[in-house]
Amino acid sequence: MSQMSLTTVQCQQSGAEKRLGLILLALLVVLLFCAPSLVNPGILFVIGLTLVQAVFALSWNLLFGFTGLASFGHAGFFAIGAYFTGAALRYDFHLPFLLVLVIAGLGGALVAWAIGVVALKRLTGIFLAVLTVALTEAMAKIIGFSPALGEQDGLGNIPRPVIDLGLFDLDLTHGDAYYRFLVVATVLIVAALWWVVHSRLGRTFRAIREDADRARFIGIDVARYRVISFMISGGTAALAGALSAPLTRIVTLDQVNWLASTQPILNSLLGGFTSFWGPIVGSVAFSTINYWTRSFPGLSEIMVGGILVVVILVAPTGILGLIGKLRRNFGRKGGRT
Amino acid sequence: MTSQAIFVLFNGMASGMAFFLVAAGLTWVFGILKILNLAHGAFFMLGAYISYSVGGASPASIWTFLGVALVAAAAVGVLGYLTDVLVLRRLRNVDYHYALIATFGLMLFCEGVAKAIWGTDYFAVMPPPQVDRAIVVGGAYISLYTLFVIGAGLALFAALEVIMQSTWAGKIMRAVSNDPWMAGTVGINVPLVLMLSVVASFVLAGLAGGLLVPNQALSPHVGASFVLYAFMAVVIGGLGSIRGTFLACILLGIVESANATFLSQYGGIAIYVLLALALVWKPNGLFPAQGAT
Amino acid sequence: MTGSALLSATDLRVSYGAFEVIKGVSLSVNKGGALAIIGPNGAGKSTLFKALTGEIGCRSGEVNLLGKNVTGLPAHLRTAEGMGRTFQVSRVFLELTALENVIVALESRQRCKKLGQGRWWRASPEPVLVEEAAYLLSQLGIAHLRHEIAATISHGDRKRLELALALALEPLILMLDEPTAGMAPADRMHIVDLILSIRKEKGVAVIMTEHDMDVIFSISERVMVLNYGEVIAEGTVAEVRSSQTVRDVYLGQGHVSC
Repeated sequence: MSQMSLTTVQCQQSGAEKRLGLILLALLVVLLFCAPSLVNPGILFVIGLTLVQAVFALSWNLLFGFTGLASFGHAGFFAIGAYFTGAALRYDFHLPFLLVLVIAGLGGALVAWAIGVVALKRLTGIFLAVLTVALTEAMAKIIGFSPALGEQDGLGNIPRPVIDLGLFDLDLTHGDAYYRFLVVATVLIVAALWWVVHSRLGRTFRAIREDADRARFIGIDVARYRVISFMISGGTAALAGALSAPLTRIVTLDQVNWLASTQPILNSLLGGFTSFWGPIVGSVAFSTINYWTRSFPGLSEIMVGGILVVVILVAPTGILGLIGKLRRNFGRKGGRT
Repeated sequence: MTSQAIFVLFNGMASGMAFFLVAAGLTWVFGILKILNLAHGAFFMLGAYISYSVGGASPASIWTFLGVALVAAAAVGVLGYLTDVLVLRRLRNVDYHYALIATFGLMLFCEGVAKAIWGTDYFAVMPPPQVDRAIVVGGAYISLYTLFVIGAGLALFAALEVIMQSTWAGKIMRAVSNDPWMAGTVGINVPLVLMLSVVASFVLAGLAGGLLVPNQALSPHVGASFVLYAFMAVVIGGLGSIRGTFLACILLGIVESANATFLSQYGGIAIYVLLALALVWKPNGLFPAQGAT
Repeated sequence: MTGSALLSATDLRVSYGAFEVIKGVSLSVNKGGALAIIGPNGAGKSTLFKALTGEIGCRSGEVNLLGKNVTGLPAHLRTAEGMGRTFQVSRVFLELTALENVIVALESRQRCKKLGQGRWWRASPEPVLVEEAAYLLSQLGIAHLRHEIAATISHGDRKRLELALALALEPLILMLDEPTAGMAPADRMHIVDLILSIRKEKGVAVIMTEHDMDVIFSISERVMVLNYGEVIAEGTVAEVRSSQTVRDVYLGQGHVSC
């Protein structure tokens, strides 16, 4: 299934390259943090959405690129986080915002566990595909029944939170302030996922992706670890949703439809699913494309669906995969065998 | 109470047969190509939209209605052929995840095209005059159109069973489905059979679209909803088994209809419960495929 | 049969649907022993093998490892109990390097034998495990390939890597499915030497299915001949070699070197 592994990319990087990468990354984070002073509120909003989509895409790719399972209804988890957080803030559940985030993440993980336990013991990924799509549709219907969740119109007027940190309050009601919080939260989540992928847990996932039977015969409980991966993925997707609610200040059924579920798939494949950073690259790439195109009904679906099909047919390893191939070709031209 | 039960029964059968009209093509393609084509729903939807555009909101007679449906089926067949050549053919030998994702993207793409061409409003098409009447069965009002749909579904099932079990075409398809390499060595033109099967399933999807247009509110999302029902039926019934799909569709239809009648404020939820129960209790479906997978 | 036996199977019956493929087979292997299962194609060797490893279920019968009934246990738990397995076409984790392959196996061993997760929070593998992995690779003669992606190494070396994976779990018994399948005669003898040295140094018992008689006669102590799901002969290599029943069954096979 995959043509290039994370480790291939890593092994080819020397120590100096790694340090350079780290410095660039740090610069990027600093830039992002200073963005409110650099760009107008409209672009800032787009950057914020891109950050959310990047986390969402990373959660999807943990499951696909690193554990070999394809989820086609990831928007369901996103919606769990978004709607719960939206309701918690709008109806003032009197919970600290950070706790709301934690509960949202755990909620996503719990639902993932329930689905995983049923779907992941079976042999084919088709069961998982059907179940995850069914989850999204069922969720959309349930939300459609609830006046409290805004039914078809969506849950609006979500206030941004004020975080009580004991000694002082972190007032996030202003757009810029919440944006900065989002940057910090994103960096933390990305770091946590990076750790997962590089830890022994990540190695176990990759072994399962490579050859599940072989993994069983070195003692790995494949079903159990697939469920664990699904739980982390679902929980992170719910976190992405939770973080998006105060950003957009409204949550609608548009977050629970087929298009919303396809977005992380596209972002991951466009950027390159064999690399940890692929989904982030893809999210940025797609946001940029999206920003420069005018909108008419159906355009989003046409673009997302169309680009996804083209990527699969033409360049399944995405942008980073192509870059990796080019680097290897140039390496060969440099005289190495 | 019984008149409600009869209503649910007939309505449920009609829903089930509507699901079957879509699911049959899906399960057939899976049996032969081993790809689960998510875009199947898109072609169903396009068939519905095309027959709406060609035939208008009020078909003059049942014959114009059927004629328009056939036109839609043909048009979708052509589109399906193009899709096969451009997209599906390249997915035959790759990991099935790629095929699932690509057809998922294709489904979305077609939904976008439908939105762009026809907009996001819901359309309603009236059933043709000959079937736009109701008869009374056991105290319940059953529309003739409902009976028409049930008839169409049963006819399709019968036709498929006869074709697959008794004709030489069916034997060839079963041979290709069981062992394509072996079928090739005995002289069967496997690529041709595959191509014909794919086009046939799309024609079926388009026909289903044309026939079922009066059944619902037409919107770009209709394809996605129906394909999900079709999937659920295929999964519950057993991958690749037409009989399993048929039974599962009936089950789903009746559950859905009962849900809409008795628990109307929570309509559309019961089938998901059914899906969950079925997967826990009979994970390989009602008619699991022997051996393979 | 049980008692001092390391692995024993009692009256195994396996069916595919209504068709009984294995009709009451019993076997036992002692600590450090070596059993070869042979038979013509279709005799049920791979089915029996899979029943022993836990990949398929038995309709009836028992499999015991060190006296413990493992009949219902799934593959990963049998591995934890001490059963290692290699595949006919060697299966390794293709996109990982050879070193990473073994590290994954070692980390799994830590988990299975409840040796503690160590510093599980690390983002790179424990140096102790890295060293052990490198040592294991060198024991199998492929230390020079440690940073190569498994997909790029040769067929023969992949077999060695797979053996390294199986050995990483410190198994009591190795289940080898046609260990020399598809190899040139010279390579075949290398693998034979490897297996012999593993048996000697680690005291591991071996059950294998094989077609090549030379390999069987070099490695095994006992041979079991299967035909149509039943045991038609069993005994030492010499006994089976001189058995008329076996000769009748193999008539026409061609690669029996007597």
